[in-house]
Amino acid sequence: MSRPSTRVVIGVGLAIAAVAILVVSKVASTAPDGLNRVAADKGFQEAASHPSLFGGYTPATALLGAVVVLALVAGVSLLLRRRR
Amino acid sequence: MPDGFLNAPTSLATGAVAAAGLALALRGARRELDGPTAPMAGLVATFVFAAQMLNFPVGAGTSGHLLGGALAAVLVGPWTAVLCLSVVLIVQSLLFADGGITALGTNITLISLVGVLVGWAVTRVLLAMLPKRVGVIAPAAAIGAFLSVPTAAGVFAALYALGGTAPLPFGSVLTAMVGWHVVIGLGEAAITGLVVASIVGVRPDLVYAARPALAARPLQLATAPR
Repeated sequence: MSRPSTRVVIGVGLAIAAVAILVVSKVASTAPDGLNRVAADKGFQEAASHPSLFGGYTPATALLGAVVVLALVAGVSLLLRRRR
Repeated sequence: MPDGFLNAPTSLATGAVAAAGLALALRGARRELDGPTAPMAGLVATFVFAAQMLNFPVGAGTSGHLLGGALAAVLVGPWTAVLCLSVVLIVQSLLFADGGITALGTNITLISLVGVLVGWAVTRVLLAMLPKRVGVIAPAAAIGAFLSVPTAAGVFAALYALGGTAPLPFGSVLTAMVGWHVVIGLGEAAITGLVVASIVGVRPDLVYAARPALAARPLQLATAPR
């Protein structure tokens, strides 16, 4: 059996991440997550503060965020590799 | 976790733990980042960033999302996983206010350090006990993923007992946190098992945790393309 190249695996993986951001995010649950649920039930949710720089996620900003994550991790990986 | 849940001394302490963990990870990752791990690290971080936004319902008006510690550790190695998850948390916090800035040390400690440590340790112990076959990696990773979530939730409860901004009994926060996160852990296990099984199925040589099993069957390793 011929196996897909590393480039194909990475490309397919990144495409799945992009689809998840653009499509799956529309059906993602908006209910509070486990921590926020406990915070609400136990009455410490009101202590939460959210200083916002870029605001929340939209599909476009989330995609941009994903590119930033990819670039940062790729950059750090290359630097660490070079310094070995 | 947003800002405001833990007091300043506790946040400073978790910030110091996170910084020490990151410094160790930068050293440790150098040994892991050979061959295919470097390109895989970018993919893993991007996938975890996307998946952490996608909350799945766990019933009773509550949701969960992937933490990704076991997933990342199994795919790229534990130190590189700490780096990947920390970058995700830093970007979420600084660019999207998803997770507080003073809470960043706590979030890195819980999700990146505790999540990876428990997820990886459990997976490693299971792989040491199981036959050296690539087929057992995804189920082992799923169990590691499952246990990592309530453990991180339990550590949060302990931190809240030490430095929470409201005086709540430790037991009640612990029970609630671990209770919800056992259910959320099932989602973590499902996503981790599925993703690891997919990559093990097509290219086991790209999976860090598969290296011992592949070393035990060198002839098949030679058929993998570059």
